[in-house]
Amino acid sequence: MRRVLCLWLPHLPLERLVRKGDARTEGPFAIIAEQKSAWRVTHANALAVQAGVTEGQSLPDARAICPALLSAPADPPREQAFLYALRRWADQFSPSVALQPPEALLLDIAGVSHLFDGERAMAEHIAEALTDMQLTSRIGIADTRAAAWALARFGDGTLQIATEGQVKAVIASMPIEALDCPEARRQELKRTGFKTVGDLYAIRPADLARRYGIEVVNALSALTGYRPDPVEQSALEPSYAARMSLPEPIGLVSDLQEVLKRLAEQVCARLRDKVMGARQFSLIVRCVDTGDHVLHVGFAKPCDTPASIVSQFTHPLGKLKIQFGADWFRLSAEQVEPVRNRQMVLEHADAETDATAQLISTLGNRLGFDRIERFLPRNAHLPPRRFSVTEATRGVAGAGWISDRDERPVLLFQEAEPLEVEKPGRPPQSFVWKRDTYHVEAASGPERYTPEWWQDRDLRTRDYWRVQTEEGPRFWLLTYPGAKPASWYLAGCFA
Amino acid sequence: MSNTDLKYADRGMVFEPGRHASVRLEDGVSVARGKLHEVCGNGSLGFVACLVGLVEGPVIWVGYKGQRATLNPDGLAAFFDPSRLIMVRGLNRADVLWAGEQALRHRGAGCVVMELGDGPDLRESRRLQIAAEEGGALGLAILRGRAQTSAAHMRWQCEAQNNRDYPARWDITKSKDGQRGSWRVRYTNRVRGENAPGLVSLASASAA
Repeated sequence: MRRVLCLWLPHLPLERLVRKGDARTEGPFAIIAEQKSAWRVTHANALAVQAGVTEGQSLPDARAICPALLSAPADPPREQAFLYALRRWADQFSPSVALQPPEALLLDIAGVSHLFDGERAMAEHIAEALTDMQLTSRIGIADTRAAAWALARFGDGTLQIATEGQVKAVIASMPIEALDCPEARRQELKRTGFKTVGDLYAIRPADLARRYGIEVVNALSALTGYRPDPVEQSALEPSYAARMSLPEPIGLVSDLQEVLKRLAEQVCARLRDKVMGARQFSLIVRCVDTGDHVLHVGFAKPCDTPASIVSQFTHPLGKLKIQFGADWFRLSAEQVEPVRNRQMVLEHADAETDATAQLISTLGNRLGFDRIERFLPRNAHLPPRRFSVTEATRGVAGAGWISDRDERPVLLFQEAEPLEVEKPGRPPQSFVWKRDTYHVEAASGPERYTPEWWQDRDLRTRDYWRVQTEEGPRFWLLTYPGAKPASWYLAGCFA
Repeated sequence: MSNTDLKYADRGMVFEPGRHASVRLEDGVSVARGKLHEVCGNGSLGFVACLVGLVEGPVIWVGYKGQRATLNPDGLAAFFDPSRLIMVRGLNRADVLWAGEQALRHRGAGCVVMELGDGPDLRESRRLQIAAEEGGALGLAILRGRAQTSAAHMRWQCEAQNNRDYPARWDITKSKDGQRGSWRVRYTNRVRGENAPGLVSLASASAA
């Protein structure tokens, strides 16, 4: 039989700030969020509740009732991070812990509770530990996930346990809100006169489904265990990070690098364990006077070698101004990806790409990875659109370039340059480009391209002419047939 | 132990004969790897493309961001495989020189091309030259402006010609190892399999 413990933290956002030592929480204080087009109180502390502030009240109302009320907007990402941290903490009680956002944890305690002298002792132990951490908790234990959650949420005390097989009886007195179904369905049920979950037992599920929809029946059978409702334990995402705090602040570059080396070794050992590498690393340096400085380095391919991390951080570390030293460091791996291990010595070509990737990392970390580019072929017929440019870290080399047609210019102007025609002709007999006059000796063309009509851009037909000038250079001239007056452009240069 | 060996041993490097070998253009004329070479003139792109076709490995091409003209991989495909190209865009001359030096020093590139305005001066070229010696890549600097006194190994003047058979003319205007000459040049097409493996055919010297 499965036993589920639901740990509900009703004041999580509020107590997060209390734990941080926020001075505002000493008086009447509320967490607010924008709901139904107004700022409303979502959590209020004891002093505020005493003064008459209730949850769901709009902030102006609450302020009118309690003028001394201070408030802070809700911060869901930080609250989630806090819950996630608690999930790691809860690992000590059960091997399988799941998150139930926004403010509950689910622990599968089947076959575990005897280690803590029974379920009640275990729950009390957990509640006590949470109280030590300044967290209010409510705990429900039942055979199913939904029932445990309902008990924690709507139970009588801070701890309610439904003994094995007794779920149906215990749940019967729960309000309709305990059903995990859309709000509209619950409203319908309440309007009909149902007050507790027990009221629904007497009605045949088929009738319930016909009248209120299948969701209600599903929610009810999940509560009672007729329908499987598994605790989906989220695998703890391994965190590839290491930190180090020092008794005395340090400031010498060599010392910083030594710290970084030790951190990198730890992180890389963890990455290697899982055959992973990271494309980005961030280092937090906490200076005693100026606070946290966050440095980032990127890599062209997933990296798991401490030496390259240290070498890439050399430049940003050197630029960091540390006056009175730093005493806290944290290195974390981001953008973690699997590493494809290869035999580097045997395959010469692969060793080459490793070195190239290292070079791209070095250049990209200084110039920016968007400035390292690669050409990719594109299946188009208009010359300027026959290739695309991507970041070198994204593009895959080795794409097939086919150029079995006529000679193409090696230099191409994305915006063709307008020419000043001196002696007109088709193509012009002489023209001026960049203040130099060129006389056409021989020309071949036109090479005509019809526009890509499915593209919503330049819809003119293009004529390209290959031109040999008396001065030497060979140009690719562009004109739009039918345009009046005929204008000529320089589209590219040949080798 | 010869002088050269000592030089590399001092820098903690192993001398690999294949890597530092020269690129042979013709009997008696070669462009040394592990060195910096300057290329001037309106035919520089053709010269660089030919040389890139003769060396192996990735090509780091350092240029400026926001240039109106871009390399056309379609056209370069006649000389070498454009998938070898990695473009680096610097914001200013310092960026370009820095990126070029890093790329030369690193062993990840077979050839490093820098597009510069005026040529590198003595100090800049010396740094690039040392970096090239350490990395062993072929370093090429395309000069759009004037050349300056520099530590580059060679300087080539490449001009487009009004000539159906030989569309370019290459001159060595400076060489530290005494190579001299001028050539009329016919480009060959790698794709059409001419003169495999994509060699440049040089006409007989018209001068020198």
